Amino acid sequence: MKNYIFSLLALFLLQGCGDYKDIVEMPEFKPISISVKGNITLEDIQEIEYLKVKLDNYNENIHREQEMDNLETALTDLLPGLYNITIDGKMTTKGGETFMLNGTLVNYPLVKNNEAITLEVKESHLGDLIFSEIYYAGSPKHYFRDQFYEIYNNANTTIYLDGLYFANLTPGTATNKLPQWPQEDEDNYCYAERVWRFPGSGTDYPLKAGESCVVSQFAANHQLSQYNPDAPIDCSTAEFEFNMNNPKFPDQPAKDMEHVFYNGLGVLGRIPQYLTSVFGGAYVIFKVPDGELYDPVNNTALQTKDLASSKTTLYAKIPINYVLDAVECGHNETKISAKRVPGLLDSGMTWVGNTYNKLAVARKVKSSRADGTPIYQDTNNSTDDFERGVTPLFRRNGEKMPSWNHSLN
Amino acid sequence: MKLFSKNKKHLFLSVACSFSCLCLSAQVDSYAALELQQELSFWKQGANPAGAWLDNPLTFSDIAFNMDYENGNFHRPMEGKSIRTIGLKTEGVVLLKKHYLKGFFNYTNRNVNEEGYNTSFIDPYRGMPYGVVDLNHSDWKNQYYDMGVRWAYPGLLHKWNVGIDLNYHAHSAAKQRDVRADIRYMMLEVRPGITWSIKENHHIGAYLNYYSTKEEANNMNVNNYVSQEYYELNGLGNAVQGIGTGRTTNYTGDNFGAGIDYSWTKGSSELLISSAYNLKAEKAEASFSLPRKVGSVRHAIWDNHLKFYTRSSGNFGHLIKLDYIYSEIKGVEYITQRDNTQEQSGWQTIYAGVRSKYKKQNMGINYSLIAHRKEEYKWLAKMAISYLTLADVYLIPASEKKIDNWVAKATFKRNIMFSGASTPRLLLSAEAIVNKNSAGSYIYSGEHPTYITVTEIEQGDYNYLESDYWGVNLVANYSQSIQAESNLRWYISGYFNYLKTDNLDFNNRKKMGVTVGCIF
Repeated sequence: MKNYIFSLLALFLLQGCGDYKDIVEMPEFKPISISVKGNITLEDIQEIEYLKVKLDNYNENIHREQEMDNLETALTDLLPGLYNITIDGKMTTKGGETFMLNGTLVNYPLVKNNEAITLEVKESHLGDLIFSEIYYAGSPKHYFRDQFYEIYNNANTTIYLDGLYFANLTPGTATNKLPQWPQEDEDNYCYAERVWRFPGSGTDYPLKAGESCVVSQFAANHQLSQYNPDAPIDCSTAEFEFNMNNPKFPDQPAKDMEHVFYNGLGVLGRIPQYLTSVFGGAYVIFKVPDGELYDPVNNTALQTKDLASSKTTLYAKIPINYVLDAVECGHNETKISAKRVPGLLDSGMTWVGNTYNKLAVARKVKSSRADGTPIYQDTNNSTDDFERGVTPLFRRNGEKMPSWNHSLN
Repeated sequence: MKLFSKNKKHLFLSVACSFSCLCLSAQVDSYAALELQQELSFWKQGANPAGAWLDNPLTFSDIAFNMDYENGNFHRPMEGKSIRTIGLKTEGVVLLKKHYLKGFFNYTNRNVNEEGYNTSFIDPYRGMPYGVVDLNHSDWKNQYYDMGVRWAYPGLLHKWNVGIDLNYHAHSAAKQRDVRADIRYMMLEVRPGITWSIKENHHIGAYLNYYSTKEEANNMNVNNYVSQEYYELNGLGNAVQGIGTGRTTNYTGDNFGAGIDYSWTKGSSELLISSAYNLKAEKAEASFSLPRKVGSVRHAIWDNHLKFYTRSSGNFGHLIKLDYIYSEIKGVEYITQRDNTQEQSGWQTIYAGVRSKYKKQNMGINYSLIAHRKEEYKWLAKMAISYLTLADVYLIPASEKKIDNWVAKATFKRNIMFSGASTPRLLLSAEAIVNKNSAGSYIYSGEHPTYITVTEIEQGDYNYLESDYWGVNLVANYSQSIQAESNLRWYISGYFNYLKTDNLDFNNRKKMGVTVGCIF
């Protein structure tokens, strides 16, 4: 017994002394220098118009941007920390086509002095169909049915919404405990909790250049007394809604989104509303290329579990080359360390800072067309691309309403 | 915090309380005599337990109940607007042949009204910068159990005295508003010491000091529908904002220290010089299930004191004290990243380094003129001047908070003796205090300068610390024996303390209280 007590005491002291020694002898924080190199494997390059590297440390609010010279640059006087490292550029092919370039490392630990970092730089497709506003936080007092997502045609041609998909990714709320996905997936997928599809047979819901549509959780006038007079928005003119067949919140004139997937099944399930996290979720719109079939219910290759969890919940895999736009939202900038969207789709995160605060995020306007409709900024970094904490408003920048909106008929 | 089971803890409390009152004979003639005896027991005041016998110790017991109340807006940002305190204090010394035994047990209950910001600490100014604050001022209910024993044994090989101190502190606090905080603190201290008598009037001593601390702060919200805004502090206003329920933070620390003493006596003169160095390392980790290092501190304290007393012809005594205390805290920050690979090995520390430093120096000189009357004093006049300097810096990005303050105090005490077999005494004391700030600055160059951690907590603290103020402290203590020739003496005392500042951000702070007790 005595030996046992002494052993425990010795173990306790050794453990304590280890930490004690580490703390007592700790050196000071020192700035570091690094070099960043872009590795471009694309062929047929005529000219690289520009290439710049951007470093973002959201915990420390450090943001550095620097032009790259000959695909390489050195950065000095950096505080050690977790950084998002992004290379952005523009190139022209010998055929005369122009492409944007992008390479991203998310939450990369910059702690070694003189480290040389190489990023794979690929051509980047900027979305024509983009989220222009997202309102997820809800309103006092704990009212969340006024959530909505506004989707905008940023291109110069008409895009048909018919058959496009909407999904929210897992984890629903940003957490540092990220899921473990199958190794063979590599970085080719993102993972959805629930997937919806826009209705239509192919040409029913055209969205012309400069037009936007709104998808509401519940497309009613939330400011009515039976809902929440304190709600910031009337969603009754929304084009689409996520109807969960809840008799307390009956079907509205807006078109119903078609349910595709939840936990391995095509049925809605027992949850009475489609609520995404009021802390901020991660959302994608995606399009299945012509000739391909996307059926995550029947094609088990498009399903997976979180391998780090004992839960049996099934998630739908979405190939990242399907994704038209992705926006990641979280509590605040500190949650960027908990990113669940691949950096290639969204290298940042946006936020409104609290829950039930009646605030939304809205994309920044880059320029406008001759007809007054906006051209939105889309750099695949929602931290930069979105205004944070705005009062929710449909078509805030002069976007047009599609002619098939039910309120016009 | 589960060092003792509930029953064992109660047993320990009972034993400590009983021991501190278990004294067979009192040798104290009045409250002033006890106070003077304590003041002139240089070794007893010091940290070396082995020196207890070098003071010609008295046996006594003192048990007292106190009630205090303070209010006023002249306080630091994370202190309460008003505080009600009730407490029980006991202390006793017994000499069992050659065994010197001292014990104390204190219980304090504090009801704090509208304490600002703090959600992590029972004492937010204890020198740990890595806490959590929120926006809501809240009431707090705090309890403090403090107890300890000192044992000393003299004359080993004629020249050696040995002794040991064992102290235990258990505190708890509960914040009454979201973000709620349920906080438990414990400290266990052991301090063995030794003295060696070079000659009859020259003594040197040395001791070692070890203590272990643990503070556990659990945050939660009762109203789960309202996510609270909170800030994780990194020091000097630097903070990371969060939304939700705060965090669970576990603070564990170990302190190793050593001290030396030298004393000399000749006739009615006595000198004691002591110096001690303590080095504490304390770490703060978030969460128990998957701990993440959020910060740690290296806290060094160098403590130096000189005390000299001499009694001139006639009945006057002169007491001089010189103090120099140097304290330096180095704040270590960690960069951590969660391992989300197959191994799921939790939070990994990928970088750590000292990022902030907090220096404090206090120099003081104190002179007392004592007009003796047998074992007690007739009157006492005291003058004290001290210089306090704070120099806190955040290294990258550079921020600083610096303060230089001069404090002067003048005290006069009069011990009035009334006739009567029960030897009644009225001890009156008046003290004036003046604090003058000679320099100071708070410059914040970090990110998010509009966070409340900068604009209210640090700036508010700087405004408080750089304030000039004056104050008075009035005390009246009446005591008498319970009957003629009795060793049991009861007393009642009341005090009123008033601090008034010229700083327009504040007004004043008043504190008053009453204590009823007995010595025997």
